[in-house]
Amino acid sequence: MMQINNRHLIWRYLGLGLLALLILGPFILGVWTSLLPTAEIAKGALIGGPVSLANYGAAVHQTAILRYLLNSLVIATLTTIAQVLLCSLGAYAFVFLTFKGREALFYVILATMMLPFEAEVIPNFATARQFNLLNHYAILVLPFLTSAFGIFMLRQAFRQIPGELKEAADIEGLNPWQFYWHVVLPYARISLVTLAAYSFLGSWNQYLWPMLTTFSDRFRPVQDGLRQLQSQETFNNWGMIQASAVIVVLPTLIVLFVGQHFFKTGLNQGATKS
Amino acid sequence: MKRIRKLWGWLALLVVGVTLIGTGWATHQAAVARAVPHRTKILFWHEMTGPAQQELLRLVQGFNRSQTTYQVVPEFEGNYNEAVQKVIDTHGTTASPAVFQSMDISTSQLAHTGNITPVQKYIDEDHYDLKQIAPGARAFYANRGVQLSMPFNTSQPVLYYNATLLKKYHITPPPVAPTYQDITRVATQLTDRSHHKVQGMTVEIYGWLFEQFLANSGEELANQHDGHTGTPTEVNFTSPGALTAMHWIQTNLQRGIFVNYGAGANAQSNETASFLSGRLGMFLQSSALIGQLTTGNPDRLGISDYPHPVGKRANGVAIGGASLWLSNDKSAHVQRGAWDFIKYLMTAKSQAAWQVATGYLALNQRSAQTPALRALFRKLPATRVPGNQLRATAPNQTNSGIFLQGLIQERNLTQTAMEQIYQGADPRRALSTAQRAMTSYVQNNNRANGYQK
Repeated sequence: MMQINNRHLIWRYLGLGLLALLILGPFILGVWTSLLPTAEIAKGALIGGPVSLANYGAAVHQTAILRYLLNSLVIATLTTIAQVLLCSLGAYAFVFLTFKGREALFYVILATMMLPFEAEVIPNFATARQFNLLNHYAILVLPFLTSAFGIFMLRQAFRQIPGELKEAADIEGLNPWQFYWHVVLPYARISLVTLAAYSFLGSWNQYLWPMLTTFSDRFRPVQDGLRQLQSQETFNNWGMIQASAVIVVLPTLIVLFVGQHFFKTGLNQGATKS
Repeated sequence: MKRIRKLWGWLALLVVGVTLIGTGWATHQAAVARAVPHRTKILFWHEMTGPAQQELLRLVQGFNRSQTTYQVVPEFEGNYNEAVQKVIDTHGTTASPAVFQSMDISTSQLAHTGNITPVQKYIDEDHYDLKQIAPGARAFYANRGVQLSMPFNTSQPVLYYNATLLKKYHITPPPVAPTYQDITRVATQLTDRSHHKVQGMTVEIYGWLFEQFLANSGEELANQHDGHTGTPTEVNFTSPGALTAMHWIQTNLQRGIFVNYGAGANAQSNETASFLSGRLGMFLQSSALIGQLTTGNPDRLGISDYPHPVGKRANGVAIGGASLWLSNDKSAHVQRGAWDFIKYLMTAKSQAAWQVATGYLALNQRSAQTPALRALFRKLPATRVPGNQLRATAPNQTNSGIFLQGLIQERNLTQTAMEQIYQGADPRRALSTAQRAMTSYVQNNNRANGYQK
């Protein structure tokens, strides 16, 4: 009996291992090529060549990859803080305040989720151009200060707060700000962290908008910076490009690693019917 | 208490991270030019990376040191297609550049935007000697006698072959100006004598190469003499020159002595990889690739002119690369500074250094006498070939580029046709389809812009 179980386990892990290898394969290959000299990569000789960290040195010295990281950090942090704050305030209004047209307004906001950002690019760009905001941090943050998805997700989370808490708070004489700050936010902590992680990653992975609005290394975020490393007509320093890609992926991995268990619980929350 | 300590840990990590990024940036920044007060800032957008970017930054520093009025600030703008769009989108804002680099096939588009000051204006004002610049390159960026922009990074399409491999199999290398037949012979011998271990030849599915087959046969791709005498209203992809070249490639693919590496950046990486590892004998590509094909390559590199049809004289090929443009949304003082910068880049010395570092051709005729370029030619005699090809070309209306808007579309369509032909489709039929689509595109575009009723 024990034997069969073990054999089962071995097969199961073998299958899982294979799947993991399939998914991790490109990533491992990427990390590996970042250690090889470009001449070897161009020849397709991936094994047996000299291995070194020289590409990382070249990436740091020859390219602005670190500045890109800093830019992304600034942009993603500002976006995250703004989204968590503004979305939670919005969601609070939709759950705890009663006003005329509350539901209708909520559905209007929900409807904006159906309009992809790509569809708003042209009017947004024209606005930014008129205000002379191009090529500045401001334009990379302004269009993303709040999000319909964030309001929706936090509304679902806030609705799970028992009505008794609100009543108790009213009896205690807490004003809405105190209730929001001392009761609602701590109660929905997990949802808030999830939203923060999502907006951070979303902002970090942005490509189209920064490509259209930034023209100098002083403001360019990582994803666009990375794309800039590929060359024109002449040869690509693949080793260095790969090393830069690995540098860029690291912060994302850290955020994912830290936020992992929040993600799981947070995602399920929206699914609960209340 | 524990929670607070954890918080401090995160904070410390953040501080360390930001400091690391900051110091790294500072060391990088030290190498890059910076704006200085009391000088007029000249914003310069370029699309060079790798060794070409480093050499360009060095030239910018050289210009900034050579005078005290202007400070050129270089900004890198990514690939050619994006850069054209950015230039057009930002025109008239404070973010826009005073001088910018833009690709060969954007020439007609930029000229039609009305956003640029033709360099001809300053050439006339300064009585600048334009004859010192290679005529083949100049002609590409001129229209009806007006020099619109200054050719800068310029390459020629050439035939590369592995000279060491040819010697090993006792094959006579292709002549300096090979015909299609010469290449068929070498490719056949190479495939046979290596018992199919070496692939004979490849022609990337690339619209640029298609255009060059026509140019070298002396045939027009667009009417109005490739747009040099007026706005084109029709294209012609099915001229004898195009059909001969496509038949030649298709037959040899079917015989198995040519191979197909497909289209796009991957095709180029793959054919280069095969060539460097001795699995591919010959291929057609930009002369700007020389740098990569000579560094770390144990085999001797052979270079020949672009092939031409049997029984015809080679008409010469058009250049590739990009040129330097002046925006007209800046003050006269700034535009003058931008022009001075262009002049500095075009001196014999700058151009020689540019070719040595990048593989792009030195466009100043006097560069050949500079010690830097002489040393390069002594070390790698094959690097003379692209320059000679450029000099041997007497510019005419079929080898000076196509003055047509929407050339990106033309390349997409011809590439689709090439793909079909490589897979065995009838060349005339595939090219006719592409031709119809392009002609209707051109006419729509002309109507939309009011060039044609």
